[in-house]
This record gives sequence, structure tokens and C-alpha cells, in this order.
Amino acid sequence: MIRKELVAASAEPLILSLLAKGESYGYAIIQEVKARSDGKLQWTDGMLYPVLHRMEHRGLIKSRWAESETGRKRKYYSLKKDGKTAMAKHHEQWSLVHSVLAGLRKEQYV
Amino acid sequence: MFDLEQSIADWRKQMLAAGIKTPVPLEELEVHLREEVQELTASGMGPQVALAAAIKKIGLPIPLQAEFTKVDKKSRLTEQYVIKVLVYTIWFCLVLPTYLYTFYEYDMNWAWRAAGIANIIFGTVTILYCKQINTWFPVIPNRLRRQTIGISAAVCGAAGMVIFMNFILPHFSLTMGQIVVAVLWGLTVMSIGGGIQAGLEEAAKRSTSTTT
Repeated sequence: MIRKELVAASAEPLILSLLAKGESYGYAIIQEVKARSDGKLQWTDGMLYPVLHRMEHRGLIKSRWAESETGRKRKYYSLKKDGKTAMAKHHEQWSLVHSVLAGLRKEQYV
Repeated sequence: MFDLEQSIADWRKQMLAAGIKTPVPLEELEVHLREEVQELTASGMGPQVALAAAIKKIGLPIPLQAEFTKVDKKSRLTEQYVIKVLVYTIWFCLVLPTYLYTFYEYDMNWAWRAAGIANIIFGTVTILYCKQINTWFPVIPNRLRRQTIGISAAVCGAAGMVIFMNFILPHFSLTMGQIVVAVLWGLTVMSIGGGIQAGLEEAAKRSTSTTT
């Protein structure tokens, strides 16, 4: 299991990157993140929604209610222009942290 | 016998009691809950166990509400800031200069001047101390009652202003300076009505965000 602080910090970049692939809704976002991390990255399900609402309020994403093919009402979220910019920034920062970490780790084995 | 709909209704009540608002975000959370229950029952779990597991995964209502409140608080702060800038601009850049110009330019007797000065003092004090004044408003939890009182106050203020301007003011032959004082007092009365409505709404919002 990944530490709580890291889960919280990675929520926004993960949601943005996921929505960059196309619109999605809360339940599917959680399922996909879980599947992609082999279940190691897990949110308390409900906590995703305040994060989504905050991001919507900041103008990073937008939402609409729609019916799924099974007739279930769902709130779909999609990326806005500012969200794309924010995602690029996140990627840049996470890559930097990752490269510093990887570099240091490599030196330990030299 | 386990009743899924009844159990979901009970869960909704708990969420509402914690202050989670409907329709948003409660509807969204319920959609999520139902989706999870469906997924779990499809994989062979009994509905009662599935619902219990789904509720546990969604999380406890109070911490959830605390997270949602953070969103509300932020949007409320921006809203308040915009209103503040607007009110300050209107008062200090428009109304006050108009008064100063009127006092300087037109001849008025002391009674009218005093009325104008009283308006300046009243307006300035209200604007500068609006935070303290806000705390005087009672919390009316019933939305319908609160809005009825608030909207009536706003309508009374606006109606008072219209009646005053259209029907009362034309009966007096006033000088230009006196008209300015009278009109600005009329606008002040209208603002008081609007202020009462905003104050009641603000008090209600404040009370819901401090319950967690």
C-alpha cells in the first residue's frame, strides 16, 4: 500500500492524465487507477469527489450529467484547457522528482 | 428480510445529517454506491454484505463533509471578495465623491447637509464593519422561511425606493443638492433591503459550514 500523503498528492495529476484520454466518471476513475496500480493505489472512494469538485471549481475540468447505456445516471468529467496546462506542469514536476530519485539510486549501486 | 432500497435510504439520511448536500454531491455519491454494490453482487456477494462493503469504501460522512466544505469555503471566499471590491468601488469612488461635489457646489441649508452627512456616516460605518454586522443576523435553518423573509426585505427596499423616486420626490420642489441627498438616501434604503437578504443567507451558510 502507498502512503496516504503520496496518494493525496498524486490524485490531481492522475485524474488529469486519466481525463486527458477522454471523459469519465467517479467510479470508473477509481477502478482504473486501482487496476493500473495493481490495487496498491487506493483512495477512500468518497474522497475522490471533493477533489473532483475542487478541480472543477478551479476551472481545470468540467462536468455534465448523462445517462449511461444501461440507463444509469452518471456525472461525467472532462478536461478543460487549463486542466491540460496543469497536467503538463504536473508531469514536468513528477518527472523531475523521479529523475533525481532514480539518479541517486543508480549512484548507490555504482 | 434485507431491503436494499431502504438501507440506501438510511445511508442517505446519515449523509444528510452530516451536512452533505443534495442533490450535489449526495446524488453523485449515491450513484457511486449503487455502482459498487452492483459490481460486488455481480461477483457473487450477497446484497447486504455488498452494501456494507460499499458504504465502508465510500467513507464516513463527517470527514467527507469536511472535505466538501473546503470546496464551498473557497468559492464563498472568492464571491465575498468580488462583492467587497464592488461595494468599496461604488461607495468610495462614486457615492462619496458625488456627496463632496454636491456639498461644495450647491447651496444647502444645514438640515439637508446633516442628512447627507448622516448618510455618509451610516454607509461608511456599515461598509467598514459589515463583518461584525453580519454576525447580528439570526440563523434561519428553514430555507423557505429564510428566503421569504430575505426576498420580502429586498423587494420592500426596492419598492420603497421606486415609490419614493416616482411618487414622493416629484411633489417637492427641491434644489439640485437636495435631490442628490434624497436620491442617495433612497438608494441606501434599497441597499438595506438587499443587505438583509444577503445577511440572512450568509448566516445560514456560515452555520452549515461550522457544524462539522
